[in-house]
Amino acid sequence: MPTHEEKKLLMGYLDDELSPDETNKIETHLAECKECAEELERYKKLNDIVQPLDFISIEDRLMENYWGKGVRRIERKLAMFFLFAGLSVLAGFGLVQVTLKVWYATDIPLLIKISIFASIAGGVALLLSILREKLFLSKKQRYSDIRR
Amino acid sequence: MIEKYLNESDDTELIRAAQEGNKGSFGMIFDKYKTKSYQIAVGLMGNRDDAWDVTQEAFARAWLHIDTFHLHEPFFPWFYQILRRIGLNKLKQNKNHSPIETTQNEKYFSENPEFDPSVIAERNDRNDKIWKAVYSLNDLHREIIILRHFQELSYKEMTETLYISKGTVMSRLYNARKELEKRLKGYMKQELL
Repeated sequence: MPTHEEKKLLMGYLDDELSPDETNKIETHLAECKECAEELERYKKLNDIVQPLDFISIEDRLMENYWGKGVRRIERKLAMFFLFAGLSVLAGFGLVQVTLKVWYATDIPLLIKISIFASIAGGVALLLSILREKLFLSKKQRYSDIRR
Repeated sequence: MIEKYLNESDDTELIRAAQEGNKGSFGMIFDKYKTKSYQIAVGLMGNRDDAWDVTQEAFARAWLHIDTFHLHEPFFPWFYQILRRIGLNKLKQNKNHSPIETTQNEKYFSENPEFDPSVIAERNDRNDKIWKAVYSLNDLHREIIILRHFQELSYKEMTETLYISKGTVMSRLYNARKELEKRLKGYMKQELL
């Protein structure tokens, strides 16, 4: 089993990236250590097999000004964040006010009060569920309709 | 091949102009690095849509924060830090992407919507196997294999691009190649017969 230092030198030697001193050191070691010499051979074969892969490029027309689109996207993300933050605070404040008013109202029957609270709780739960789906689940299913 | 990434003398004037608000200059920087950035992003993300999003957002953030860039430093490593942070964050958000023990697990690939085999320009059995094996590595291992084997960066370029020492480059490469070898073991034996 090569030591941590030998592992590093093996890589540098394989990639021809060592100083003369380091090269001497690993060559001396390789002459004595069969295990490291075999390992080096395996990595040479791996290097032969793993040739550079080219990925298909995006068409030039799509690339035009796309960093500008990126800026707009960040601006929109920020705007959406502030919008939702503001609306959430307002909605929360409104809900608390309505809940308190209904709770302390003497002219509303208990059954109606319970119905109002149930509706509010259901609405909030539904909203959270939809948000959760939109924010987390839909991202993972973007290719669900594509057969490969 | 990659020397041009780190030969930043041509970039300095363009970035200086961009820092003064000249969008055209930043556009020229974008033109110079867009293809390579996108190629690295595809390797990291596994598909065109995510790679497109990440590259686009990275250039946008670079433009928005161009005034924080120090002119005496090379541009690409600074930009790459933005690109990789966005990419790795996006991968973290996607709980589906996790390294696997072997590339023989076809179920993993068929159920992983992030992996797109058709992103390779020249498809054949060898390239498909390599792409699957590389994609199944963990994020840091995949990144260093892409930079070394696909982008052909030297160790010096990798230390500058990843902000890590040469020792770390070598030990990370060792671990990444060990994992890659495990995943390609069957194929390597087949090749040698």
